[in-house]
Amino acid sequence: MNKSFKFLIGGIGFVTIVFIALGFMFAKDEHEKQNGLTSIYDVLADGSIAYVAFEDGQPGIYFTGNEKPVVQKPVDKTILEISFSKDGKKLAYVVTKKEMSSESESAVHLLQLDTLEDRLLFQDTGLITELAFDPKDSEMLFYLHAATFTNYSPIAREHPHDFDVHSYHLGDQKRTKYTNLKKYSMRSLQVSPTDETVYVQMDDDANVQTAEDVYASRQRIFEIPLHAPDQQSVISNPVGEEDIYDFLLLPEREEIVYQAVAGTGPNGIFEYELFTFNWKTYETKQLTSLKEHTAKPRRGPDNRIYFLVDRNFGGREPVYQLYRMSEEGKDIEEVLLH
Amino acid sequence: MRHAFERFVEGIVRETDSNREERKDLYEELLSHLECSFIDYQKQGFSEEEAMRTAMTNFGEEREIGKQLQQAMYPYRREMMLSLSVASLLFAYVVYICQLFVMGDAHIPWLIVAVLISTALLVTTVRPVSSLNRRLWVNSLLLTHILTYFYGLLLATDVYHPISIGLTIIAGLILILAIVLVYRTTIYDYSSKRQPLVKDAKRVHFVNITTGIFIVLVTLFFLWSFLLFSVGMSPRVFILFIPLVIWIISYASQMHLLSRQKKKWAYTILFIQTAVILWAVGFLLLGALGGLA
Repeated sequence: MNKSFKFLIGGIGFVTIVFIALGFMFAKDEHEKQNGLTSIYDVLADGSIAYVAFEDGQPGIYFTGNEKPVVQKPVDKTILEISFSKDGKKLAYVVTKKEMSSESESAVHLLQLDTLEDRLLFQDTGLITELAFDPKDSEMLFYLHAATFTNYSPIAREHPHDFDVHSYHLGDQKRTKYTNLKKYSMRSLQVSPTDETVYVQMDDDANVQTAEDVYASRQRIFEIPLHAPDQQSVISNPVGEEDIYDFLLLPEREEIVYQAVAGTGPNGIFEYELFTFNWKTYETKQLTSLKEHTAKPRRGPDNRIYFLVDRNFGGREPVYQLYRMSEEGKDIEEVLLH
Repeated sequence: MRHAFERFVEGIVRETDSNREERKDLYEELLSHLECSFIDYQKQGFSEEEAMRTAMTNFGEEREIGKQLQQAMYPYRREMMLSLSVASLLFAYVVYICQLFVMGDAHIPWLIVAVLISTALLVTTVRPVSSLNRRLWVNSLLLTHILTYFYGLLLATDVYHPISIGLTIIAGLILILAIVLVYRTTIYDYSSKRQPLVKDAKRVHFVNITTGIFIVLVTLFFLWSFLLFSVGMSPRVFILFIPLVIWIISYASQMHLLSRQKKKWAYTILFIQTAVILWAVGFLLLGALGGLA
């Protein structure tokens, strides 16, 4: 073996050792890889926006205009939901471990917005996936609770299941369970500003008998009277053939803004748009035509509707951008968070 | 005199990729050629010293002749092996760094295996060892390389778009080059002395290598699907390897029958094997088309 060849082999060995050392120095844990805006946000009546974003895996709650988070949690934790109280003085949020399992626990915190005092309200076994303050009473916090986190099919990923509607009263610290539905899925919790009623999206599967019935059942919006939770009724189109995934109530317009599949893009990925449904006239209108993944409609000031667009839907990581528009779906503009 | 000639010829033979038997033949041939020249020069009145020097000088420079012989016996083989080893090394480093700094993952065990296998290819190309220069060893090295860099291809596709496009194309080219080298190593470069039906052996090798690549790819696909949807490891996973085992037995038996000059039987097995595979492919394609319809 001549000198130059020995030098070449030595060089390969040296470069490999350097690369291995770099690997030990710069490799990231799965939890440290998350960065950027999540789909969790809320809008106050004065236009303030709170949102959850990751910074090198650390989840934090940010307010528009501030680059520093008001709350930041360790890399092994995640923030599942945030909700402003109607009076704008409080922000509730849920924290759990990123590694979710059937033994997961959720901690609900309350952030006092004037002092930024953060206190733990309560902890519960299972996952609390959504929060909503009662617009009629800022001391009353409703939440969706999933009793299990599992996969019911070997080819499905694990998800929270066995959902029910609960509440927590900040004053007397009392927790109440309203329903005993153990729903496979439940989303988009909203509380009526006038009645003792909550609204959720879930499977319309009360009367299913066979596997074909389950397959044919649709996801709809339900009204649940809190004094008689068994008397649920569908407020979205009860015979509509589309699945509704997320929604926003506009009670004064007797309308629901909802998210549904509008079509399939050229890449074979579903395009989700926002629609309105008037529950008096049964009239349906398409609000957005962005041909993207449009999601999470929220009510903002001046009757503006805020919503998210995932620019990388179907990709590895979502890339969210926040937009707003009029209730008629006009004047769409991007909302810059920094 | 003979000692000087032996050293001279050894220097020439060392430059070729021949195996031990081929080297021995080549060595004898070159040595006898040199000795004939030596005798001729002595007859022309040269002294022993002069005749020896002139015979070697007229023969040419050892390394140059070795290279020419290598090119004549195995055209472009060394260039292909060098390209494969150098491209593989660079690809391994680039994919590793992209995975580390773009995706945050350090694939250290893969890097070590990829560098070792590429360096082994480089060493055996630049400094061929005659005892290792056999079809079995070279193919084992190439097959290990193909498996290692197939994983590298998966790592390349895993990097964010558009970096993944270039890396995936390079990985594909590296794999194609390695597969081409398996074909030429088996069919052209290293023929077996035990095989009397050379042309038939080449045909049977070609069909079996092609079939083998197909079976390995299908097995890997089903293995991936099984692991994706199964909760834990199950002994049933070994069922997936049955086609591969049958192919190995079938291939070995065809070559054994050919070595015993039982051509008809060898081709019958080859025909049945190919027909079964074509039937399975047709069945799967029809099923897929039926599913789409």
